[in-house]
Amino acid sequence: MSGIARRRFLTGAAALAGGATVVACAAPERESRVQSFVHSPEHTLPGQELWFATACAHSTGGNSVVVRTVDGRAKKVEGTKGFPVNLGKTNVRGQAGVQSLYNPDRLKTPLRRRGPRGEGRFEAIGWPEALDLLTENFSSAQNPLIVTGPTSGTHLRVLAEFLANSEGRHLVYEAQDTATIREAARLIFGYTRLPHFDIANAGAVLSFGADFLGTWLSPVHYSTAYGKFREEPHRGRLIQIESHMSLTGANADHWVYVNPGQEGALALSIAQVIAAENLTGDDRWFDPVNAVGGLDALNAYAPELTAAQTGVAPETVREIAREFAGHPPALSIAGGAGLAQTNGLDNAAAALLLNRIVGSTGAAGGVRPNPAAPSAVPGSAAATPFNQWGALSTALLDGSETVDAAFFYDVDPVYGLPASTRFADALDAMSFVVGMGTFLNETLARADLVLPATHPFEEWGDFVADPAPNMEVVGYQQPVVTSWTNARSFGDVMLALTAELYPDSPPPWTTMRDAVRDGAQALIGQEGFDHGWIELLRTGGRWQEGEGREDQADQPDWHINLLAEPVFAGDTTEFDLHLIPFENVAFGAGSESANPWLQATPDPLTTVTWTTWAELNPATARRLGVKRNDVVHIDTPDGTLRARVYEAPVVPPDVVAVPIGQGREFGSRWNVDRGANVMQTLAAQAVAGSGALAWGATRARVRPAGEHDRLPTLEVIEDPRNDGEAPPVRITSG
Amino acid sequence: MLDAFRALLPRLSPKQLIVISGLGAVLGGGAIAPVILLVVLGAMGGTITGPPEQPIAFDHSVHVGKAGIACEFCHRGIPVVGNTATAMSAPVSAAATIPSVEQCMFCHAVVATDSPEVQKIRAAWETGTPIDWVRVHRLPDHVDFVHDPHIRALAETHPSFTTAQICATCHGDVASMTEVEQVRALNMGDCQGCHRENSAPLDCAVCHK
Repeated sequence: MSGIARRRFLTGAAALAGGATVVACAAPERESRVQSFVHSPEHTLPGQELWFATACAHSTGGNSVVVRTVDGRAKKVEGTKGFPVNLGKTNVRGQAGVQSLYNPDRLKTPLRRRGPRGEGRFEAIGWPEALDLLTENFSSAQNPLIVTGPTSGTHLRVLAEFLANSEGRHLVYEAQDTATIREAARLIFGYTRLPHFDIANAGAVLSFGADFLGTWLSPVHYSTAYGKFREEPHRGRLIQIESHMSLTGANADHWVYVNPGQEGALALSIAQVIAAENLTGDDRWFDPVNAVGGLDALNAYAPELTAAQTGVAPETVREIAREFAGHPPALSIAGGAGLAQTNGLDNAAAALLLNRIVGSTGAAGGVRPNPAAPSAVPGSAAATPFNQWGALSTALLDGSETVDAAFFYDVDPVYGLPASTRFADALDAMSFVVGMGTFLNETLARADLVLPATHPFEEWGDFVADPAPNMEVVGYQQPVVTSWTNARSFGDVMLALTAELYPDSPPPWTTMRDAVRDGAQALIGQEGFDHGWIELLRTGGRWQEGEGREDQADQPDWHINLLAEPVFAGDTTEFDLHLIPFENVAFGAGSESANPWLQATPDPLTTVTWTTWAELNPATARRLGVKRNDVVHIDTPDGTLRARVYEAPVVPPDVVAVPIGQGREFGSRWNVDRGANVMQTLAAQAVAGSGALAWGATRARVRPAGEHDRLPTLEVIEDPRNDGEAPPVRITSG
Repeated sequence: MLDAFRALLPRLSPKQLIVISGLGAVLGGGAIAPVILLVVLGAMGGTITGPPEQPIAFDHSVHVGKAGIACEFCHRGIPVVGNTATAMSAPVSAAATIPSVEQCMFCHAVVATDSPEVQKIRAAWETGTPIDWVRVHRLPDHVDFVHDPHIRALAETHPSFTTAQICATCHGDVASMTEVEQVRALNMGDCQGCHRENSAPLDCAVCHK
């Protein structure tokens, strides 16, 4: 300190600190600028908010949302009031829509592959060049293949224009198959469309693994219905039966663990008690029971006889049966891992059969048939179940089938199908692959040409709600903002491609907007259309009683003897645990994992964010010599993955549960190289009868990796076995 | 960077600057050095730095002074009041708003097309590029300032005022300014002084919402 007096040093230091504070706190440069619009938008003043109704393509079931825009930017998403699917509500995916819209890692321009497939190296090209490339390859294609996600409405009419001219086919890839529940509803009730499960008016809901508050079919609709169901004075009873506790299970009055794949046996046990004790008070159970095999066949499932198999004590089964039948109208539904077993279809059928046994069909609080889609706007296209993807993959690999041009829009089968299906290799056997989406993914990364798709908030569209909420619902989608990227909508690209390829029979519309408007005209009629069109866009769509409800079949088309024992991949001695994957409440099967808000959304049960974890029962963890935050390898007969342990007493001792959705190589900076993709490790087994992926039918073993890596959770567990590190987020008592 | 300081720091009138600097000098010492630094930088947010340099040398003295264009003709977010009031009352936004390039082109498609500054406007129009004007007046984020009630209140208390005179209360005689600059401190003391004079509410929550 020689040469500098203490006082001077302090003066200088204080001045520096003050200056640094000022510099650090200075308002960002952009705030000293004020931009003028180039054009004066109609009815718009700077700073004034405008709300537009549009569709929320991120949520399952078909929700309508209103988006608040200010100065041409989308700011906030809410549910559209009165829209009968989501009833003015949204879920976390809807709320986070703006972060996908303005995500800096979105695909912004067409890309052409450089280097080998799968490396993900591309060069940016312009749209004219991209469309030339597309046209050139599709014009010479013999049997072009178009693959989209679940879709309905005008998209299908646009695709029909293409397919009418070409020899091509359209396949629908579902990240989570709904084929099993659809087929079960057809077998038991004779409905070809998903029925309305009227949770709101039920007295008791018996759910076999259906996480209707989180991920099942139309979760926003069912969550709203659940609120009504739980209202006093007739507060409904909720019984959840599953192999891994879901968000719905955590809300149940009675949560019961069932051995994986034994849901059907347990449902029949419950049916047996209802019949044997005549819990319905009359003989309404007799006909349905008689139709599926009779009382004798059912008696083979008496609780005492199935206890060892299902893992549920006879007294518990009786209790459930009395609780269920004692609170009419009683509704039984099925979903989740129980349906993703080799015998999943029969599990679902047995569960739905209970509705017929207690007479909860065709009336409030039960299972009701849904009306048909209006003729002007087509209903959902049938999805292609897993076994057909497997067959396509095999055929492409052994050369018995060739695809010379394929177009993948907004799907990622390379990520979602088990690695043993070898779909990535099958894709490489296709001559020309186009991928279109808002983000790069594992499928698009293997494409020869990648096209940037508009975000749902930037494009025109419409949809028919599926499952419908006991009425005919058509939702409309309009752009609420202009795209900030060089993206185009899938509909526009397909129309341009069709017009270019088939100039002799071009589609009747040049843009998706025209096509949607045309469909709306057919829906509401010519008279007063201009006003009607505005009303459709303002209210989010049109809904009415609807027509074409199917009559319930006289008898279920199913037999008790069809219920087989589940088959699991993996030897029980080598692979001692059941691997139960589960959908993430925030980003589902992984399609939305590029979104940082969704990544940061805590899992509702464990509060884990941002990564993949393995839920283990504390006893199992002790046996394996691991504890919370330890890294483990989870081996299956078809692969292996790394995850961090989360001990949870609600996980059965013979189960390791792993969330789906992470482990991407391609996407945004928020989801690449994060966690592991459990789907890749599954055995390629299908559900008998529906062809869906039996994603709950793989066995696994857990090996400690000898590493320790703290899980990012919101909760803090005071456990002496924890490592004592500071929690990532401190929750202070208030 | 200076613009950023302008936005952040308290604006002081020259009188306040002298008083605080004087206090600083008297008290002296190291501890007060950061305060003096803040004061000096803060003053730069007020009247000292003069008008900022704009991307286009827009001259209010020509548009308002010579051509006599009313404020609200371009700044369409403000209500039309005073003795120019008509039945028309445009929807108002909190901000007075900067006119769009399109609006400049209403006239400049034919007026003064040779001027190099007007050609900059034309270039922005033709290329669809928004113009990045530099803010002259900026209130901190914790102040919820809305033009509408202020203009209406002044119109009520001064029935003979034109809109231009009402605007001049805070913005000065813009009609004579070649380059617009801030003429009032527009800090909390300034706001409160005016509120007192005009019997406007002084509750915290009126401005800090």
